[in-house]
Amino acid sequence: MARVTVKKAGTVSALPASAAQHAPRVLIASHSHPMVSNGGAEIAAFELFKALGVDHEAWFLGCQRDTKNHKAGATISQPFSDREYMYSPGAFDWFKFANQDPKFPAAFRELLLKLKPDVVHFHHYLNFGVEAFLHVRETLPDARIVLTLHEYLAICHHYGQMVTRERHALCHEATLSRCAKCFTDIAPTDFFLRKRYIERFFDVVDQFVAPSAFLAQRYVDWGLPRDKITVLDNVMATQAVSSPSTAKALPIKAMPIEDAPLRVGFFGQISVLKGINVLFDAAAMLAERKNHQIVFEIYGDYSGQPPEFQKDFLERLERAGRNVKFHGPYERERVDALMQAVDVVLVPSVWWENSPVVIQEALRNQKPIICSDIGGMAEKVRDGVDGFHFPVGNAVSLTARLKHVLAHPEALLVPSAESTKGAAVADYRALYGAMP
Amino acid sequence: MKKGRVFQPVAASEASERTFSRPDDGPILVSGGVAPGAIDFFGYAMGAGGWLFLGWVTRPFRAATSSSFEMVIRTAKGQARAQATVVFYERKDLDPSRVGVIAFVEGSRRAMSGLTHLAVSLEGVLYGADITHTTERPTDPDLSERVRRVLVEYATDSPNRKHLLSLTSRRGFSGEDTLGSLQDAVLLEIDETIPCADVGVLLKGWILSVPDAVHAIRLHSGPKVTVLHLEDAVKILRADVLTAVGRAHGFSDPRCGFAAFIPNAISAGDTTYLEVELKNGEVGFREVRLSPSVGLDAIRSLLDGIDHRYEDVDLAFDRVFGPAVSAINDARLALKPATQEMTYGDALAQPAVSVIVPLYGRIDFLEYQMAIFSKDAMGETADLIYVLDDPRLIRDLRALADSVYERFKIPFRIILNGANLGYAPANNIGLAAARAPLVCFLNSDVLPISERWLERLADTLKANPKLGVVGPRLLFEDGSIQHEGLVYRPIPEFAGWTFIDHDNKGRRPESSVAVRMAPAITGACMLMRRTLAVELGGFDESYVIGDFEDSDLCQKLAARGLLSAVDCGIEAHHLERQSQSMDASLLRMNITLYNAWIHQRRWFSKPRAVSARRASV
Repeated sequence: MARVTVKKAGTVSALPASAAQHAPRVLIASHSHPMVSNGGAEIAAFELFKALGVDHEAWFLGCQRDTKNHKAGATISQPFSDREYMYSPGAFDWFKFANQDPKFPAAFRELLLKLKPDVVHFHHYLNFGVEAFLHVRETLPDARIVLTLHEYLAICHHYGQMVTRERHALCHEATLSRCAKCFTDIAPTDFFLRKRYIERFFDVVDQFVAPSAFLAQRYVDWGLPRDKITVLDNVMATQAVSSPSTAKALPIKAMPIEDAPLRVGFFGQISVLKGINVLFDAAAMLAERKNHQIVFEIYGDYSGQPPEFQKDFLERLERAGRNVKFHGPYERERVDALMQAVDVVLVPSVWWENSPVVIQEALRNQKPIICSDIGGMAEKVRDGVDGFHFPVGNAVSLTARLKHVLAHPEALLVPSAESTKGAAVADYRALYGAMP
Repeated sequence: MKKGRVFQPVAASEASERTFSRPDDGPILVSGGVAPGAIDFFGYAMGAGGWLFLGWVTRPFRAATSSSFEMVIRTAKGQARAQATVVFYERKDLDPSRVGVIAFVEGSRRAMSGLTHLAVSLEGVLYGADITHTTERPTDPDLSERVRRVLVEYATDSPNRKHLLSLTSRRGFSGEDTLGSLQDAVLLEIDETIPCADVGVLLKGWILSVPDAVHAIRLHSGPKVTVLHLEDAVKILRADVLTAVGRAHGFSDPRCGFAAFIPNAISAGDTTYLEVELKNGEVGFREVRLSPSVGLDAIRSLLDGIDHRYEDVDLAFDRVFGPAVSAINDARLALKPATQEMTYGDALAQPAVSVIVPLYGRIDFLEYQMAIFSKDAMGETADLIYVLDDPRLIRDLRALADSVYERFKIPFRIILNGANLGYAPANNIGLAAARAPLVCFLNSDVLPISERWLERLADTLKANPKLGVVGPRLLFEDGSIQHEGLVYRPIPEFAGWTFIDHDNKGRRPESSVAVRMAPAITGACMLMRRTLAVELGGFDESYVIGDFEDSDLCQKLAARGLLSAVDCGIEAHHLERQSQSMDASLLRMNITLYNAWIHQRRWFSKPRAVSARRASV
């Protein structure tokens, strides 16, 4: 039988960074790869891999669900570098995260035996399947298994967002009947089965990492033992690799000048849950009152969204006044330069979020943030310190807040050095070192 | 008239048809050349439903006294005896030592193929008549008309003459629907005619008739003629019939629908039709089309739309649905489809328990169970046997099984049934494949909670030699009790039959972890000795789809003085009936009623005595 050790891990701050005396060998596993997609989870995983690689033996195992780049017969290949492995997933049960690809277990076990890592740190279990934890435990009984929880995937079948499917209302707790109400074609008992399945494998994980305390609490409420969860934010590059041409070309405005418009930046994925409609509503209200002093600059991509949303987005953009500018998608390397060109960063998400990359980026660029007053956003942005909260989804309040900032530019505080620090790779070294 | 050919005895070998009794073993006294005779013409009378012969025989020494005669019929294949209605009459065209004879033998149209000779038996002496080269073979209506003319003109009055006159006046079934001609007296429709294997037929339809107008309703099928006894049929409320046609014809009985079971009624491959005979002698026919459905489909269409309650339930199942469903189900199970066994991993040399799990409809339960089993290292002690009772899912299950084995490395077998057989047969197929000294019957939607659950169940069984079977306490997903023993409860709505309830169902479990004796336990998870299970025949296959088999098995154990128990210290989740497809509720209820009927008659009460009130026909 698989050995399941539950050992209380101390909080990160209590651990000396020197805990990593003999640096453990770490395999970072992510459901994707930054070369494949640009999501926060795979970027966080890859940043950690890169940072660890400086003084650790570290490997990265990503996934690419893409037949175009699939090498026939090669379940795990190495298209990028010696230390990066890529799994080509097959049949997958997205309901209970069961990997039905019969080739994966053997290929994964073989890789584990070859690398013999001391720690296998999963960021996500999509594509690998939750059984992957068991494969590690059975193949390398002494290896520690760490799982960083992104979103609320295990809790909520609706893309782990804990927002109702139909009306996008915030959901505070997953119950069998509530979940079955969201998914009318799925029986409550199936949600029960789903949970038993996931729990069976979560049981094998030694240490969970929650990038926000809010998310940690949600998982504790759901049933994870509190002493197995550590709150530790994602590692991110302290300085983005900025391309000199764009960084210098854009005007940098340190503080608002009187009569100059207030530039409100929206960065990242454009979707309903990211609150784009809250932005449009606020912009429309301001335009109606002939307020041209507040300008919304949208940077991001909507091409991965459902067609109905895309149509709706383009229509709203068309109808919007001159106070809304859409700049299209951007390369991750350009984000610092682009953020320098706005006065505040707006994070109007209508779902809980966890530890949004855009907030980390804004803090790094010392930009004040105006965000919804819920979940990971409210936790990461201290109201009145790093920026301001407004009631989630409330465009009237957002408008009032923006007008207030416009009238009182001195209210725009520069986020403190403390909040811009972010998590360091040392914290992760300490975490690994603290594990038996 | 030509002299008949000399009779040549032919070895009596086989009866030509069932209608005729088999020949005696003793020698048949034939008159041979002493009492010759000849058949002028013969043929099959459609309306009368039998064979008519007209010819002559040697005049008997004494006049006949009985009204029914035995006849010996000789064909190319052999000879047989049959009862006949015979009328002798004087023939002026023959010498006085000979007498004219008209005979009628009821039966199948096919029975007389190759006829060579027939003889009327009178006090042990046979008076024979041969087929000659001049023997004619007229067909109806000509045949009946010619016989009638002779009867009217030459035969003296007698009961047999009257009977033959009546028979020959009937128009036979010609394929044409003539029921409409009776519509002043009777309206009848057969909606479904469901053959019940070769045991009988179930008719569902409706009838509206003027009181006392109908003499008899008969079902003809090839050589078989059976009577539809409406007084034995189940009455069905058919307000729709009354609305659509009944009221316009002055009828008002809403319970005009019926379902009737007629044993031994169908001759396969023959035309089947209904004959309605009125008291006034009028006759109407209607062909009935046999439903092509067999097996579970036939059972479903048979029980569909039936809604009986209270004491009607007894009658409905004892006389109609019980025998009909049993016949179909027995025939269904007699066809053992091919099974295929697939092995994953290396089989254990000496497994402690064989676990038998039938799969139907949903195969993903295999994945859930294996995930849970992997936690308990069950692969080290258990011989896991999954029986897929759903041929539609064979390919999907094989793909899933490949992946599940790769993921969990627990050895198991899957047995793929070539047809959907139902819960009991599927378990029994697994039982036949089981190798361990103990077997655990397990539903696919049961997920163990307690560690070492199977080992501990086995310990409990072994600890008490009086125990025949033991199961765990089963919980719903919310933690309340799904099962900790069955109890019996009569339900007045269903004739007071005994139904099964789960004790304490839905309540929070008490902390007691005792072994709790019960009259019976659920088959969702039960452990017993394999040899005992095999000896008892596993689950009884008379039950359709899945119900009551577990109780039945516990009753068999009880009959041997063995107890059933739930070990409340061992727990598992049971999602209850997730694995069974949900039919429309009324049909599902009727299948349950059928199973309850079997269970009731076997373990609780015999049918009520049938009152002697069958009307003569």
